[in-house]
This record gives sequence, structure tokens and C-alpha cells, in this order.
Amino acid sequence: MLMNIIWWSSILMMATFLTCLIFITIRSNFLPIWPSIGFLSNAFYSFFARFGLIPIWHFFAPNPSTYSFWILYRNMYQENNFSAWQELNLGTERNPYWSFVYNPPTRLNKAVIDLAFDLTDQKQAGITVELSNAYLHILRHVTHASNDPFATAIQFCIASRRDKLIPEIHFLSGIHYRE
Amino acid sequence: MNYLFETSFAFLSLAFLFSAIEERNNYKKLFSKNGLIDLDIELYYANSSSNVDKLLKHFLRVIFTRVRFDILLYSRVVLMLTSFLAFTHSSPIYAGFIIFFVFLINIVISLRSRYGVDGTFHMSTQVLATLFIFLVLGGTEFAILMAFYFNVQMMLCYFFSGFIKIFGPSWRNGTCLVGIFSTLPYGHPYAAKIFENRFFSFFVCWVVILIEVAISFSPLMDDAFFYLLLLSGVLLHLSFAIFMGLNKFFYTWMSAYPLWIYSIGTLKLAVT
Repeated sequence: MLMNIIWWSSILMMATFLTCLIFITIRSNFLPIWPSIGFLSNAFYSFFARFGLIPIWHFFAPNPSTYSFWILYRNMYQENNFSAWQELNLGTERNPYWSFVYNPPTRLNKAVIDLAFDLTDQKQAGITVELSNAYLHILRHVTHASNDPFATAIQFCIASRRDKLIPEIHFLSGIHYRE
Repeated sequence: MNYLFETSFAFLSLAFLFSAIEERNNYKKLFSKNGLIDLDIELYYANSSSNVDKLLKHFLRVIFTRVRFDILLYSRVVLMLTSFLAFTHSSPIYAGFIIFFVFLINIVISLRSRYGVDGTFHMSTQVLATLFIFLVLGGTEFAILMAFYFNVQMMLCYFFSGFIKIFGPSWRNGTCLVGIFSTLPYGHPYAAKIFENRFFSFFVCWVVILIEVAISFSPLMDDAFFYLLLLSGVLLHLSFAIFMGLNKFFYTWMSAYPLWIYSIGTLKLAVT
């Protein structure tokens, strides 16, 4: 009798849990076209989101990224002289022809895209972008990459190119002085 | 039905193997001390109010050294193969518990950074959770529940993939494909040239949308349509792999298909 109660209550718990997951999946996948949708608490949502348990299924939709991104930086020397923009050597490159089997640049390329969109999304949302995760990641990385003892400050930008058009500046950082 | 599980094991092992080699290849540029994604910044921005968070942060700081990260990546592959062997030697319960470890490792790896994580992680998590329940609690009500859940997730996966595209003007008018195939990460020079033809591009956009939406309703159709749509799904993923370099999407989704077939079989059996 007791075993039966435990068994069926476990099934009930699992059914509730899976139903919640299905609702969260529906909610998070409707967000791009229906931003005000919200039928579950944010605390509940963020718990699952933190561990990546909410599947995002709307690949390349509704507006697919048609941009290629590059991270560039330049040093500032005394008397406001800037060096030329230099590309950060991340190895972001076109997929090799065997990429349908083995494609090493995927994660790096996707990370650069995510960082670029994170920056612009936060800027559009009015969040102090300089304190964002993405901004600090890039700033830290370019500061290390420049490694110029005579530079007094550094600035970075994300350049983007759409289709075959001329590259343009997608995001421009502030000027950050070195200690 | 064993061949369905074996196929799923094989494709997921391949996905993890290539993921491990690729992540290792990128480690220096992405996750090393001077890499693009810094662990301290990632952990600083994680919620730090509770003791659980502090414990989690400490755990992640310990686990994400280069060697341990490599061990995590390759242990996924080794454990998948071990589980596969256990399954073929008639020990599905042991195989299931090993799969549970792979599930946990998969989640831990994803905690390194959300930057660069793609749909393959979400699908592999679903497949691993489903495999775990099927192997450990196969034939019980838990397995029926999981079959229902997995079936719904697969339907949602294709439904949202197709349906949300309709809301994108560039998908509706067919102009997005030239743009996508002109990018560095997902580009293909020949495909970009072919899709400069507006009519062809428009046609392909709507074929992709319709196939994806149709696949989402395929479990509700009869078997012939279901398998026909699954075949079109295989071809779609294969073309994504060839033209866009989405290799792990192909392996991961191919590991999900056999489980989807098994889930539908389980549900039909439960209903009758």
C-alpha cells in the first residue's frame, strides 16, 4: 500500500515537472514574437534557464543573423594619437569544406556573434553596457592582446559586414585608460 | 527495438566526440587564461546571494581548469561508449545510470559559458534525459510519461523552428538565404551565389518553413507520412551540415530521431 502511494506520487511529481518544462519551453520560444508572454514566475524560469534546461528551438528565426563580425582594437598614445585598427586574431574564418563532418571554428564564431548581439541588445535596452558581461570579456581580451607598453588607453569595436557590402561599425566602445 | 537505441547511442557518441575535439581546438582562444571568455567575469556575474550559488561558483572554479575541462569533454565520449557496451551486454539499467552521469557532465560543461552554446546542447540534454528514463524505468508509467514529454519536445522543436520563421520578413520574402550564406560562420560561397536568384531563394525559404511545420505534426499522421517527413528532416539536417557547417546539429538530431520513433511506439502501445 505504502509502496503504491510512493510510486504514484512519484509519477505525479514527474508529470508535474515535465508539464512545467513544456510550458516553459512554449513560453521561451514565443518570446521573440510575443515579448509580453508570461504565465510562469521569473524565479521559476531563471532556475531552469541557468542550467540550460529550457530548449530554444527557433533557430535562425524570426530574423536570422546575416552579419559576419570581427573584433578590432586600437591603442591611444599620448596627445590623443591613435594607432590603426587591428583585428583581434580569433581565427574566425569561413567554414572548411569538410565542415559537415568536423567544424572546429563553430563555437568560437558563435561566441563572437553572441557577444556582438549581447552588446547591441543591452545598449538598445538602455542597460549600462560597460558593466555587461560581454563588454568586460572583450575589453579584458583586447587589453591583453594589445600588449603595448607605450599605449595609454585602448578602444575596441565590433565591425560587421552584411552580404557583400562594405564593413561597418556595429559597436564602438569607450576609451579605457590603462593604469 | 534495440537497434533504435543503438543508433541513438552511435550518433550521440559521434556528436560528443567531435564536440570534444572542436572545443579542445578552441580552448586556447576561448577559455584559456587570456582567452575571450574569462571564467572570473562569468562567475562574477552569476547570482551570488545564496550559499548554493557560492558553492556552485567554488565548484566551477575548481572544475574549469584546462585539464579538468578536457577530462569532462572526453569523459562524455568514453561514458557514452561504456553505456553503449553495457546496453549491448543486456544491462540497460547500468547503461541508464551511466547516461545519467553523461547528462550531468553535459550540463556542467555548458556552465562554463553561455556564449557559443547552440541548439545541440539543448537537444543532447533532451536525448540524454529520455535515454536515462527509458533505460532505467523502461516499461513503467515513468517511461510512458517520458515518451509523451519527448514527443512533445520534438514536435515543439520543429513547430517553433518553422512557425517563428513566418514572422521574419526576410524569411517570408526569401531574401534571408543570401545573407545567411554570405556570412563567415554559416556561409557557403556557392550557395550564396545560387540564392541570389530571388525566385529560387523564395521557394527554398518556404520549403524549409513548410517542411519544419509539417514535421512537427508528423506524429499525428499515419506511419507512411511520418517516415516520409522524417526522411525529409534527415535531408534537411544533412543540407544544413553540408552548406552551413552545422555538423553537430546533424549528429545530435539523428540521435533524437530513433528515440522519437521509439517514443511514439511506446505511446501507441500505452493507448492500446
